[in-house]
Amino acid sequence: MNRKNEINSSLFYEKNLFSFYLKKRILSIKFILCILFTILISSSQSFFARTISSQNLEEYIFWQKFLGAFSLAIFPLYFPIIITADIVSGEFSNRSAMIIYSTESRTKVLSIKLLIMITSILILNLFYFLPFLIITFIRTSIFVSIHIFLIGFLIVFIEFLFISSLTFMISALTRNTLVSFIVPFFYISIASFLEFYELELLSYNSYKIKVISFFENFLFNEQIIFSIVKNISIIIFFGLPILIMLITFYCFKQLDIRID
Amino acid sequence: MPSIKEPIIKIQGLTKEYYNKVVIDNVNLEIQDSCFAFLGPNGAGKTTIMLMLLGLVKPSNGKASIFGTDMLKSLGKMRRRIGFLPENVGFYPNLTGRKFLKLITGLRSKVLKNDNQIESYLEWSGIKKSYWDKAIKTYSRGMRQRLGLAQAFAGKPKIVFLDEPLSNIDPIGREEFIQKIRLKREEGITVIISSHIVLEIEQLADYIAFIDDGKIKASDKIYKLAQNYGFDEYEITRINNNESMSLKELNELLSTEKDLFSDLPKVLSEKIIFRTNNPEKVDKIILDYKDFNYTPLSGTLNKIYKKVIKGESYEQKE
Repeated sequence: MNRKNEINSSLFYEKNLFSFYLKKRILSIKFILCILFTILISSSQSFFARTISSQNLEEYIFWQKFLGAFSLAIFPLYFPIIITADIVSGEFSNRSAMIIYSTESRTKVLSIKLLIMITSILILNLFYFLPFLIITFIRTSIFVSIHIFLIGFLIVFIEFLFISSLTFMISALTRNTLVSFIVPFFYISIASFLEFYELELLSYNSYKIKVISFFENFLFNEQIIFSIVKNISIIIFFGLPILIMLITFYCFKQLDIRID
Repeated sequence: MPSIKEPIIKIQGLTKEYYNKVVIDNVNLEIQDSCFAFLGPNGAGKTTIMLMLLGLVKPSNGKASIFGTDMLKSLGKMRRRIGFLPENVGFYPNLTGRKFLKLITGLRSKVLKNDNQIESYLEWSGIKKSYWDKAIKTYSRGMRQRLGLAQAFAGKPKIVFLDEPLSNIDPIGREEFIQKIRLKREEGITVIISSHIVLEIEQLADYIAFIDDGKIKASDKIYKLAQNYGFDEYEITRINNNESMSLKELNELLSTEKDLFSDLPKVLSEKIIFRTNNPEKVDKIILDYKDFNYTPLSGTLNKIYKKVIKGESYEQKE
């Protein structure tokens, strides 16, 4: 085979790096274990009385029980941390970073890693929701309405994204996997204490609860209640992950990529 | 090497401070298409200069460019023309040597590399065939260094940066790699080396910059440095085994230029040695004979190194 195949795709290198990182992450044992545990948690939330109406399924079972359990339990939030903690720092601990970052610009590498993170979180989220949908359908022959499902999916995804982007930021800026694992883990664990000691402003969970109640009113009571607190909560809930990512990119550009 | 050409690398007032400590102090350099070496003791700042050139470390002041591009701002196109072997090279431990080289060549070149091409890099590295498809975590340090060298030259880069390239490699392997790097140089790849091992540099470099405490103490063509520090003994050795011209024939050719030499050149078993006060003219003659390497007499660079690093100032005699 002496024929040289010239690839004309403008994103050839990016696709190469993306597929390499994606394979590496998705085929890792920790990712597979996180998925398995997510399925287990989701399935455990899916068992209830067989005779149920469509409205009950959506309002009580899906929204209040399934999503409610998610907003109370901190356990599912550990999975995005486990998946993301070494996404940038891993390359510094095995020293492969020097070769990769000299071959590609750091902004590009970070963007690809961010895409990998979002893809992984999306897959994790899918595996959180799919077992519930499948089991409820098998048991009741009813599906949750698409708009209710999508809003629930979005809320969980955004919270996963927040936790992941926080972990991603720490992983990129400290380049230390242990720190990027411990700090978000600690933050999630103290969320209820923050609320208890009236430090809700520091708790992302408190914003999420306000967002859930806003959508609950909208979906089931057909009321749109705006207040300053709700508006700010919605902005913070959706905007904070984006802000964290922007800060990460800005700060990472200033760093020296060096392993001695 | 012709010196009129536009420099490939340009460094202007490059300075780096860490916590108010100046580690690179106002370095100015122009590097032509050559084998250029940064030579200095541990902690002199060689690696930092290299990393600033590669855009991995941000300068506190000044600028560095490769082919006129500031690497800090380069998004990728320029980076693909550059190979880099870092000191204490690291890899993805679960990847095989073959897969790692495939990844790196895939990041440097759009031309799809088939298995034969990847295998040619692996063969070049000297890693045993039985290890090509084993995880890198099973490799010894020497094998990792070999793989590191192979990846630096994989994908046909225009410039290759090598930081302490021959550390961890056994003495026979070192000799092999010196030959291999020289051959790559002959293929037109500019090689920038950082090392504290004088012997390696003596055999490889055309140009040298002595660096200590973050400052360039002296920088020039290797034979000019020898001349300026009062050494006049030189040697010519064969780089490769193409029997295009024997050492004897070359010696006869050189001997016609009697005015050039203080003593007539002597042919020893593997080299020609001579004394001259005009090393530049000898360089011009030798330039046409690519199979030969022209350097100051073995051991001279070590003497220069001691002189420079001990603090004697560099004064151009011209």
